[in-house]
Amino acid sequence: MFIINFRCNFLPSLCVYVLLIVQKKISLYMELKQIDETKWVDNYSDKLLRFAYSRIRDRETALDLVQDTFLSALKSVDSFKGEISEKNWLFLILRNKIIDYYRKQARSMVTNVDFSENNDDDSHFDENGVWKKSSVPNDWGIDAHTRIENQEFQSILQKCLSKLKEVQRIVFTMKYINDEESEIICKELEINSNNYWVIIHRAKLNLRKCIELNWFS
Amino acid sequence: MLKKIMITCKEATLLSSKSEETKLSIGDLVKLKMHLTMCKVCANFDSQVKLLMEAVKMIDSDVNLTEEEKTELKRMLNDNMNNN
Repeated sequence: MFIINFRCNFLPSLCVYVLLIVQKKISLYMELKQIDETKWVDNYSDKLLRFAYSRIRDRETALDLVQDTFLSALKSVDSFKGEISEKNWLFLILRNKIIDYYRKQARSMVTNVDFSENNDDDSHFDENGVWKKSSVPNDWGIDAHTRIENQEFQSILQKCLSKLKEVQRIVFTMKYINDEESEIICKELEINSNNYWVIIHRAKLNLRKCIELNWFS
Repeated sequence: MLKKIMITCKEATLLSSKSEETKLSIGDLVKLKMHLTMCKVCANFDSQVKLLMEAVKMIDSDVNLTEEEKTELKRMLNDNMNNN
């Protein structure tokens, strides 16, 4: 106590800071140490499912992963130290499950996908690199901005996303829906940056065409 | 000289995709801008993709578990708790 008082005379702001941190740690500890497995489903299952679904866009798989998450959590309850909240802890487990899932899927796909230039782009461009008639981006009109702010458009967008090839959908979803850094995506899926660009670009070409066909024509 | 600056639609769209995420080199940027001013359809592509990326960010799925699924999950958790 004396030491704290002594120092506080000299470095008041630092002491206040340290005390605040200590206090925060203690309150965090008291608040988070408890775990109540019986309330997991009621408290977290919807949120976890939504999180998994936003990444995988397949409800059944997402639900499986949520179930796996609860089971894994149950097994490691004893090692839970309360450093993070129960909720964050569950999300962390789910996040890792999703990454594992992506990696398994992507690896089998990436090795099967031919990344050579004239693969998928051929459906959009001819041999001279000119747009094919079926893929030419037509004018969407000046009211395009307002026409996409609409519930019905959202469902078309979802449908078009689900029609993308799986590897495109995974990379695209991670980038644009989950807002992850490109470098992290490449690392998590073990793909190089060139493949990444090609995948993202094809996803955009296909998505744009699908939207035009189903919404703007 | 002019030939070096001219790029195909295929190349232009790839640059357009890249430009959304990273900074293009000056050379690529000039090539892309040149192409977009001359090519209406690629300009369409450029603006439409930007529009779609905004729309995609707003996707909010109102996904929930059904009551049956929740009951099933609870039962499964309960079984596993008793086993441990």
